Amino acid sequence: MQETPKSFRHEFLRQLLLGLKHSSSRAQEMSLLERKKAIKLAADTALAMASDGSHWSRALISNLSKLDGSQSLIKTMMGDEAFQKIKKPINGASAFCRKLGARRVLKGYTMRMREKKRVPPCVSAQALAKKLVKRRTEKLKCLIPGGEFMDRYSLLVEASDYILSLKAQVDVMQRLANVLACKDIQLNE
Amino acid sequence: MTEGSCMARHPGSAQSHHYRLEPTIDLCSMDMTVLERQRTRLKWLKPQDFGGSASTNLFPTGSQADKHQESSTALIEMLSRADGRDGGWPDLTAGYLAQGGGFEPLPEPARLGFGTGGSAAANNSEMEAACRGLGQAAISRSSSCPADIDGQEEDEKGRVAASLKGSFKKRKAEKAQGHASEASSPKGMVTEEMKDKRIKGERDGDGDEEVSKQRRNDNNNTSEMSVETTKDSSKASEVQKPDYIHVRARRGQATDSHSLAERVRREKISERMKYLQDLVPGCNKITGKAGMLDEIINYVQSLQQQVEFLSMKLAAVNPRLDFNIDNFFTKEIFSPCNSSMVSPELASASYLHFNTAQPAAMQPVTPCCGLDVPISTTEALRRTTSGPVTIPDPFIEPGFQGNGSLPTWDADLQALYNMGFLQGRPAAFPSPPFPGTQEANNLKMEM
Repeated sequence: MQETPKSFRHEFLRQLLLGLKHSSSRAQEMSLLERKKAIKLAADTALAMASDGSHWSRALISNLSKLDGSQSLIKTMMGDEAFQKIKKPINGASAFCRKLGARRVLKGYTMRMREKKRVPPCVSAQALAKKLVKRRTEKLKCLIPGGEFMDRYSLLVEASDYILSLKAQVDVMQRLANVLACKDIQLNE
Repeated sequence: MTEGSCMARHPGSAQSHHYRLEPTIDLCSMDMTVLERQRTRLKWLKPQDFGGSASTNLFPTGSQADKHQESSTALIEMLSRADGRDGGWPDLTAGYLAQGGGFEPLPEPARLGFGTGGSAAANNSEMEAACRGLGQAAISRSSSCPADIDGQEEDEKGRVAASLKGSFKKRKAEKAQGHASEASSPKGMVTEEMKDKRIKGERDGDGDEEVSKQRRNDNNNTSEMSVETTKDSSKASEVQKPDYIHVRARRGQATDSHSLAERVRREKISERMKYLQDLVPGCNKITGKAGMLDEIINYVQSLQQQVEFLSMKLAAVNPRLDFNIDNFFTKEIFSPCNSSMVSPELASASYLHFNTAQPAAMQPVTPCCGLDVPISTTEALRRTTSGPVTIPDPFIEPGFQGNGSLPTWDADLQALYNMGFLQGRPAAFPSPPFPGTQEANNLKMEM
């Protein structure tokens, strides 16, 4: 089993605590669900901050910044200049995305047309396998933040990185929850 | 720490401690280059002379014959694993595993070896290249499993044989350096020594029939091993040029650049899949991309769900979202600390550092698990307990004067601390090695 280095976990914890501190000011009027959302937001941002340098972390931050109510937290955690950099789109990125999207649509359309014309008498095992792999790759692309535009190899690279970091995140949060649960019980005695 | 956790897993291997300690002491410094580490490993291994008595049984495997070879390989892999890691939280996996992650605690050395190589890749590409040598020896062993549909096994075996002599021929970035250095350095010797008997047979050239026996797919015939051996030993010295990956075209295969490129790409992908097999638990039996992708997807989804659940739990645990402890931690974390920011963070880590070596003890005593034996604590604890104790919350206390190294939590220290916490009430705690359960119970009573 792989282990993320200690420094990563520390960094994650530090960022998480920062984020939670920021959100705690408004904690009184929040319901449970809102609190949970705030905590999750802080946790995800902390995760992305801790694993800086990989594609998925940047994509994750930009995804999170699109949620409402997240801007202030992310700004606090990242610092203003970094946040501005994220907000400003890369030149041509939007055009690229549009092209890609258009290409995808066209590809899907032509594929469907071709399939309708050609009815294979028997489905070869290879074709079936390919279809399965393709379908699952698509699904993986949805799961991994920022995965839609990657080729298969880098998708796997990002997936492994992401899985490692997620494991670390789950671990740290579990322990934090345990500590707090203990403390709670002790104080209540 | 590593030793402790290993002890829990391998109670029978009394011999292994001796060997495990030495390398970790030698090779834990991250300043050494990969080459130096390999050389020290070699130096250390040489007198060992793969005899039966020298063997360590870290990971029990099926075959007796390969036992010592594999255990030495496992050692090397463990060393290379220790290299890139801070080694700080090794018990976490144990705890996590024991908490019912349901994951396989003992991966085969093959997986582990490759996993080591692969994980180092995330941090250090140089190490990846070096570990690939080890990992490929591991791959060769794992290729005894039934081949998967694509006939990738064959590619891998050919690749293993080829790469071990350092003869990939194709233009791409960066890999050639690793392979070249592999071939030329004593690492090559190590990998060769570490190899499975089967691969040895292949390499010696009489294994042509053996090789063909192992090949499931008859369409792609690989070139003869003996031919490759002679050619590649001469070519190994040539492959010092940077920026090229040299891939040899196989016998009976197309030699145009497209198919070569495709082959390299496919092999890279299968390498990655193997690495992912290590990450995702329970994937050892699964061959084939589709199944692996399925498992990966499920795993990622389950991890994300766990995060959601945990954030809900955190939200429920403290209604005010104000983590007192954590405010103190952050204060300490951001204040200019003498001995760098590491210690207060480690102080915080010490609270999260549960008694994972005894996970069973944790469950029935959950309420006090926060005060279960942390594996490491700060020196400040010592200082704090000698001084006046005013702060009511035991968690916060040691965090403040975080300084210096992290001594282990021994029983008298804990006794001191508990006495201080309980404000003078005498607490006669026994000193067992893992006093978690007992002392936690005592604490609970006295509070």
